[in-house]
Amino acid sequence: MTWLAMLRSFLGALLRRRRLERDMDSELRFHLEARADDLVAAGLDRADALRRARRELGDPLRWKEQGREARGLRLVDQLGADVRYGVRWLRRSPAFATAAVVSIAVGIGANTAIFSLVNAVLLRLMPVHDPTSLVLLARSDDRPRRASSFPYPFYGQLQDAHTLEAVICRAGFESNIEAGATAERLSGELVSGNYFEVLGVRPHLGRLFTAEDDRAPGGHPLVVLSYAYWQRRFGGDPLIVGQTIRVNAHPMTIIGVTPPGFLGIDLGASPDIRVPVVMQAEMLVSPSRLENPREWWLEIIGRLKPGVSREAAEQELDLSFQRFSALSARDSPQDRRLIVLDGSRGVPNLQNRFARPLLVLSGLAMAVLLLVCLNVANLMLARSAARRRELSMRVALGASRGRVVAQLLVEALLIAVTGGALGLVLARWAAQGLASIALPPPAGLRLEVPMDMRVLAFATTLSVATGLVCGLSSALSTRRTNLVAALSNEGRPVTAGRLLGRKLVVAAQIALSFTLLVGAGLFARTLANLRDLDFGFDTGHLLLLRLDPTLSGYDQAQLVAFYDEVTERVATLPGVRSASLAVTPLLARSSWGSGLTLDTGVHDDRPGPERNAVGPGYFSTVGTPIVAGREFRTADIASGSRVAVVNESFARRYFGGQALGRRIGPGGPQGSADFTIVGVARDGKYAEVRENAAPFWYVPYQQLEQLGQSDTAVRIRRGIWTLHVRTIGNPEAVAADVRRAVGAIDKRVTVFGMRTMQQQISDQLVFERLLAELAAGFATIAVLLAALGLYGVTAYDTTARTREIGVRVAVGATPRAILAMILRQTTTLIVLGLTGGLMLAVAGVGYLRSLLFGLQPTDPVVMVSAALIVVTVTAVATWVPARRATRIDPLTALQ
Amino acid sequence: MANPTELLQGTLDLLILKAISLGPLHGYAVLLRIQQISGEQLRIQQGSLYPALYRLEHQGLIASEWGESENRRRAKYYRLTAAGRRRLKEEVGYWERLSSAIATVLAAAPEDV
Repeated sequence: MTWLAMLRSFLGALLRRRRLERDMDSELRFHLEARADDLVAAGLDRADALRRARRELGDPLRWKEQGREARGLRLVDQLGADVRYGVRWLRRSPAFATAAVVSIAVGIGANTAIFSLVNAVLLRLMPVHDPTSLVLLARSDDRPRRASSFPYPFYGQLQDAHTLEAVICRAGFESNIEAGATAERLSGELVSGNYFEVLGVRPHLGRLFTAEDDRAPGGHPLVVLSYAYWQRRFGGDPLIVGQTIRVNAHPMTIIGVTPPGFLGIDLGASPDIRVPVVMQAEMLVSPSRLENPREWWLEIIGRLKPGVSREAAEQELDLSFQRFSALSARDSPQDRRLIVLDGSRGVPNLQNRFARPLLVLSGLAMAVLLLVCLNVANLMLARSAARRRELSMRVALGASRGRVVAQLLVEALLIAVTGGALGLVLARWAAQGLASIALPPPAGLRLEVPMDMRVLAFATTLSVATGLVCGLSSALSTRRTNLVAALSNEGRPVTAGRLLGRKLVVAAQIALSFTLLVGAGLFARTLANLRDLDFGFDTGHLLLLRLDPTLSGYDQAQLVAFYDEVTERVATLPGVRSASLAVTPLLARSSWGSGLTLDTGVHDDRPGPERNAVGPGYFSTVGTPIVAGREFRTADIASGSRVAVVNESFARRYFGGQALGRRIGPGGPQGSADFTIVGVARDGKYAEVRENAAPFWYVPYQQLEQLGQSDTAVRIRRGIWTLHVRTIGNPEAVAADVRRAVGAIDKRVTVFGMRTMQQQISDQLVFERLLAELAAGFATIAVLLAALGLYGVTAYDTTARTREIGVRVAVGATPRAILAMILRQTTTLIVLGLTGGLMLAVAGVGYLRSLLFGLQPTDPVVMVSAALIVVTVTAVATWVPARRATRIDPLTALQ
Repeated sequence: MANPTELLQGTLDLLILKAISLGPLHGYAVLLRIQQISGEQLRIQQGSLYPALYRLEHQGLIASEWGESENRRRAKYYRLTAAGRRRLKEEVGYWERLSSAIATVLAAAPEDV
C-alpha cells in the first residue's frame, strides 16, 4: 500500500512538476503571511513582522529542495542535469563525439544485424498457432537433428495416437506451372488437408484446405498459392480464386492465398504452391505412394495434447512405429527408433546448416564490438585526462565522488545509446541484405528478418553494456586524490598510472585485432583452397540447364528421343563446343547411390558407390580425362552392348586398378554384372565441393532401363536431366540461344536451373564466402581501431614528455636516439599484444576446425601474415608521432 | 528547564500526525498546534515542518487539499488518511513502550544496578 502511494505520488510529482513547484511556493508564502499576521497582532509593524517571519522560517530554497527530495525527485533532477551537461559537453567536442558514436554504431550495428539473423533463423518460433506444442517426428537412423521421412500409411496410423491432438504431414515437390501462356518452375508442397487448420493459418484470400480436401486419391485438384507467388505472378489479383492453372500438366483450381508472414514449416523451403497430399501421384508423376508402406517420403508434425510431455508422446509413438515396421517395412534395420523432437521452430533444415556459421559470425562481431568499446574507453580516458581540471573544479566546489562518476557514466551512456540507435538503423538496413547473401536463394529472399522485441532488447542491452564499460573505465581513472592533485599541480597532467591503463587497453586491442586477422586469414585461405580445388573436370566455360519433359506428357520412350535431339541441336549452336547429358548434374548436392554387383559375384549393396547416367561425349564435354580405355560412344548404344565407365577410386577398390574389360552391374536381388567397363575416368568432385574421393561409376543414359526397378531408379528416370554445355566463350552469352533451341523442339518443356558451373560452385561456397568477407571486414575495422588507439597513446605520450625530450636533446641525444627510445616503448606494447593475441587465437580457433578446408587452425602462413600486418600497421601508427618527437626544439620545449 | 527542548530525531513526524489527527490543519496551524499542546516546551525549526509534511504525504499517511484560511487566504490543508491513522496508533504505542522502558531504567535505584 505504502509503496503504491509513493509510486503514485512520485509519478504525480514528475508529471505535474510545475504545479508542485507552484504549490510549494504558495504554501511557504502563506506560512510567512500567516506568521506575519500573528506578529502584527502581537504589536510589530508589518515590515518588521515579515522580516522576522522570514528569519524564523529559514532558507525556503533548502526546504523546497528537501521537499522535492521527499518526493523522490532529486535523482531525476540530477540525471536531467547530467544529461543536459553531457549533451552540451559532447557538442563542444564534436570530433570526439562523432568518432565515438560512429564506431559504436558500427559495432552495435554489426552485432544487431547478425543477431537479427540468428533470431530469425535459430530463435524465432514459427508464426503459427501455439508453436510450442508442436513436435517433429524423426527416426534414430537419420543423421542427428535432420528432418525425417515416413510412409503415408504410418501417417494414417498416427491419427489414433492418444498423446497427439492432431497430426499433419508434408512433402516438397518440384512443379512446372502453366498459367496462361507461360510455364514456370516453382517449388511446391504436398500437405495434409488439416495442415492449415492445425497450424492456425487463416487465408489471406479465398479459403485454405480442410480435412474434406484430403479424401479421395487424385480427387482434389486444388491449389493454394503463397502470398509471395500470388504477388509476383498475378500482381495480387483478388479475382484469382476459382481460376485454373496447370501444375505438372494437371489442371488445378486456385482456391486461396496464404497470408504474407506464413512461409511454412521448413524455413529453407518456402514453397510457392500447396496441393493436397492425396494428389501425390499426379504431382510427382509417379506411382501412388499413398498405400505403399515402404516409400519414405513424408515429414510428420504433431500437436501434443495439453499436459502431455514429449517423452510421453515418444513412448507411445515409438511403440506405434515399431508395430508399423514389424508389419510392413520388413527390410528396415531392427534398431530403428522413432524420436520426438521440438517442433516449435519447424523442420530444422535451415537451422542445422546455418547454426554454426551464424554463431561464428556472432563471435567475430562481438570481438569487433569489444574493440570498439576499448577504443571509445581509450578516447574517454584521453578526454578525462584533458578534463581533469574541470572535474577537479567540480570536486572542489563540493560535488561528491559519486556525482562525478555518475556524470561520466551518463556521458558514456549518452554516447553509447546514440551509437546504439544509429546502429539499429544500420542493422535494419543490413540484416535483410545479409540474409539474402547468406542464405540460399528462396529462403534468403523470403525469410523475414524482423526487428522484434528480442532484437531491440539485444541492441539496448548491448548499448547500455557498452556505455557502462566505457564509462566505468574512464570513471575509475578519476580517483579523488588525483583530482585534488590536478588542481594544485598543472605542470604534469599525466601520471604514469593512467597512461599504463591506456597502454594496456592498446595491447588488448592489438591482441584482439590479431585474433580477428587470424580468423579472417583462415577463412580466406579456406575459400581459396576450395576454389582452387582439383574438381576432376574443367569448371570454366561450362553451362548447365535442366529439363523436365515428363511434366509435359513425355513417356519413357519419347524421353530418350527428345533428349537425343536436344543434345544434337545444342551441340551445333554457334559458340558451343560440345554438349552432353547427365541424369545427375555436377556439384548440385544431388547424388544417386546404388548397390553394386561385380563379375566375381561379390555384392556391395550398403553403402554402394554413387553413380550417374550420362550421354556420349560427356567426359570430353565436362573435361574429365579418361586415364584408360575410352568414353561412351553413340556406337555403344546402337550395338546394344551394355557398357560402363568407372573412376580411378572404383578401379582401385574393386579391381586393384585393372578395371578395363571387367563387368559390373546394379546391386539388389536382380542385380547381375552385365555392364562391361570400357574406360577409367579420373577421380573428381561429384555432388559437393567438400567431398572426398570415392568410387563412382557411369552408364549411358540410354541404358538406364537396364539398371533395374528400384524406387530410386524410378525417381531418377522421371527424366529431370541436366544438359552440360561446353562453350567457347562466356557461357552466359549462349544461354538465350540454348533456351531457344530447346523451345524450337517443344515449347511446352521448360528450361530451368540454367547456370554456369562457376555459379554452381559459388552457390556451394556461400558460407565460406560470407565468412571470409565478413571476417576480412571485421579484421580491417579491428586493425584500424588498434592503430588509432596506438597512435593516440603514442602521440599523447610524446606531447606530455615534450619537456623531458627537450632536455634530452639539449644534453646531446640525437634524433635517432629519441626515435629509438619511443619505438622501444611501443615495441613492448606490440609484443605484449601479439603474445596475448596468439594465445587468444590458439584457444579460439579449435572451434573453427570444422569450417576450415585444407589447412590447420594454426596455419603458420596465416599466423605469420597476421603478425606482419599488425606489426606493419602499428609501426606506421607509432612512427608518425615518434618522428614528430624527434623534431622537438629544445629551446621551445624548455621555455 | 529554561530552554525549550530540541526535538528528537524522527519525532517530528509523530507530532505532525498527532496534531492533524484532531482535525484538518494547514502547515502554519500544525506548527501552532504542536507548540500549543506542548505548552511551548518544544521548539521546531519552522521551515523543517514542510519537508516533513511532504514526506508524510508522499508515504500516503496524510492527504492535502487547498482551502481558505480563517483570514481568507488560500491555504493547503492536511488531513490524516486511514493509513496515517494506523501509523499514528503504532507510533504512539511504540513511543509509550520506549518512554516507559527508559523511565524504568532511569528510576532504578543504585542497589538494583
